[in-house]
Amino acid sequence: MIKHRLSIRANNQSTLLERLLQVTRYRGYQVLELQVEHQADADELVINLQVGKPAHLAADSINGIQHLYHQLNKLFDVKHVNLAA
Amino acid sequence: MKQAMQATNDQPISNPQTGAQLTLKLLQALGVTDIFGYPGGAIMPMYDAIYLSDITHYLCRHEQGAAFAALGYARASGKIGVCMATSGPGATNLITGIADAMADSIPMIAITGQVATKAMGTDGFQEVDIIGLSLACTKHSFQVKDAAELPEIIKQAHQIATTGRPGPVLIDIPKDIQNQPIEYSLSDQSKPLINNESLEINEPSDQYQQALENSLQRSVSEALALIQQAAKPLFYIGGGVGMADAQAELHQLMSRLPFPSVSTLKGIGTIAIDNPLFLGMLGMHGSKAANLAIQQCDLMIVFGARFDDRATGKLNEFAPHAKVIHCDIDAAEINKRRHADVAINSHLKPCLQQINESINQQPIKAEVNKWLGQCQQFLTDDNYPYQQYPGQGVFAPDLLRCLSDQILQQSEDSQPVYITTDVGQHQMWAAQHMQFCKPENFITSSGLGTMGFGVPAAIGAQISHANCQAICISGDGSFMMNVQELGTIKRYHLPVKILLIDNSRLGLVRQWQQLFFEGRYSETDLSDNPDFVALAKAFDIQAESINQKHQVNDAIKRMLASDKAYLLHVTIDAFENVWPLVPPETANHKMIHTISGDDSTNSEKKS
Repeated sequence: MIKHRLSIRANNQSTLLERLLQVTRYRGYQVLELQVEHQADADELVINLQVGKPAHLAADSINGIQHLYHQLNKLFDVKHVNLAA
Repeated sequence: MKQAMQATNDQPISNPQTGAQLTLKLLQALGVTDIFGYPGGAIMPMYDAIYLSDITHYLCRHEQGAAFAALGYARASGKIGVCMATSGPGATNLITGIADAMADSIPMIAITGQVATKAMGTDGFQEVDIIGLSLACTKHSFQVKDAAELPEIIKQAHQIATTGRPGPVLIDIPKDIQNQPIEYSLSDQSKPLINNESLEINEPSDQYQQALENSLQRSVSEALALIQQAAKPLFYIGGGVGMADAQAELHQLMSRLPFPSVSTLKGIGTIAIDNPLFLGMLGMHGSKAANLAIQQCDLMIVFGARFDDRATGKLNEFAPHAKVIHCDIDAAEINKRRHADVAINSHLKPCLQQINESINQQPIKAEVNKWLGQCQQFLTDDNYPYQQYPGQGVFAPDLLRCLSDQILQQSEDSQPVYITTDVGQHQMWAAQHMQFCKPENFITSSGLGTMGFGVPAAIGAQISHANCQAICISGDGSFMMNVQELGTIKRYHLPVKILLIDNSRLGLVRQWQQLFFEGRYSETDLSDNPDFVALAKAFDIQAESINQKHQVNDAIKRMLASDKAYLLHVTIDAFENVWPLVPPETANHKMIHTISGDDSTNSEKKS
């Protein structure tokens, strides 16, 4: 399993987590760890996500995790995505 | 695609009003004049507001028809398409249209009624979690929890749908919110306003803007360096150019760099029809010339395309010698299926403008001339044998070429013509054998490939331009999928034309069964179709039927000359195939290319 860590800052919306998880699954990744923290001052959610993809599927992918990164970044309520090196 | 935000903020709204009335006023302030929909229990307050609204509502006969009509309207007009339905089944019936808008990047707002807030989550009558269902096929979805949120939500929905890579947005409004009294004026400065300003979060700082421009300039310089080094360059044009309203800029570039070009299905109409080196559509049913050229080129200059699997064929054998310059508004499309040697993530209009500004005196390699000659030869060799069809029956490619010629002749001095198609063999024949001056003239379900799209999309196109000619090219399978929309044509006296190509089969599936499933024709026989002429006449639509090639010219003339709705039913051979065809998981140059007619010797093993 090829693993990646993403840190996401997003608007505190009820559909946010569903959307993140839906995009993650659809783009071929499995959620291995999920941590969500509500930051009351900014009314934002900070989400730390570890995702994985079976090595044989990851090898077929041209840009791998970058694709998921861009797809998450496009979501309206997502303000920032950081992909850990 | 043109994006107009015709907002006015000096127009007071009478207070108090309901959430439903406010919704319509806000849409109107954004320039929405037409909505396609179907009423039901949980959307009744909205329909009550529509009764007194200046917005024109078009009642379709199925929510899916309403969604496709909104798409046809959006694609023909460049404006946002709006559709509306009740909760539960009404909302789920919109989903296919919403998914189609997502796949083809069409700006759309879908409004759904929902059970009252207190009933939500109780499995109430006609309750469905449409927000959950929509997550996979919208750019964004909103559920309104208080009527006071409506101004901001509708403003955001419009902006999300129309900016960046366009797409659909869903707004789910519970019934009690539609009925909720709300005091709001478009001129009320104390509350969120509908105005001409962009959302704050989308407004880049000057510094950021400068950085973007510098980055674009750098990428363009890299792209020009690749162009200078190329011996066999080729333009690969997708639907994004038309969506970005950048057709003129592309034509300017192509006049300076007279390289050969190919187009995707959605890019058809983007390249000028008098361009001598336009090689046609690439891919599974692309032209021989386009597929041979793309396999041999050493540089693909790609604008607004996403290397769809139907275009590339076997990906790891696609254009094996080519470097890639990939320009697209969506960062997620770059490097998704094909590595880009130079990536330009930008709106295509400024991108093409920047390239055009930078390209003066761009030297190109001497070998390019040899390549241009080679591509010219591909075109010459790819002369389609329209006249070689045996017998007296109608040859669909020739039928569509004849329609295209007559349209182009009449378009010089008349209103625009919008062609919609359904999905199947007729769609591929239309893409192969018709010519279009603009991408919005060819409205087809490209990404999702949705049968049943054509008739309602033609309704939407016709309504978007009252004086245009909207023509749906359909097949007998697709036509029956939204045949109820003939009722909409009748109700609004729409002069929509329907060219129904009938082979009594699900032709494209049957073709694959013939080629790849050893002739096991499983569930593709539609020889029990209704009498289509009688069916059309039941909706007061003029209709005629032909089955001989000598009848084609005059029948098309009669159809085009009619100022009313018209159905031309054309019977073709059940075993006609679409050629060329690139078999699945095969490189594009390994096309099957057989002249049709001899296919009819294949008999069905079971029917």
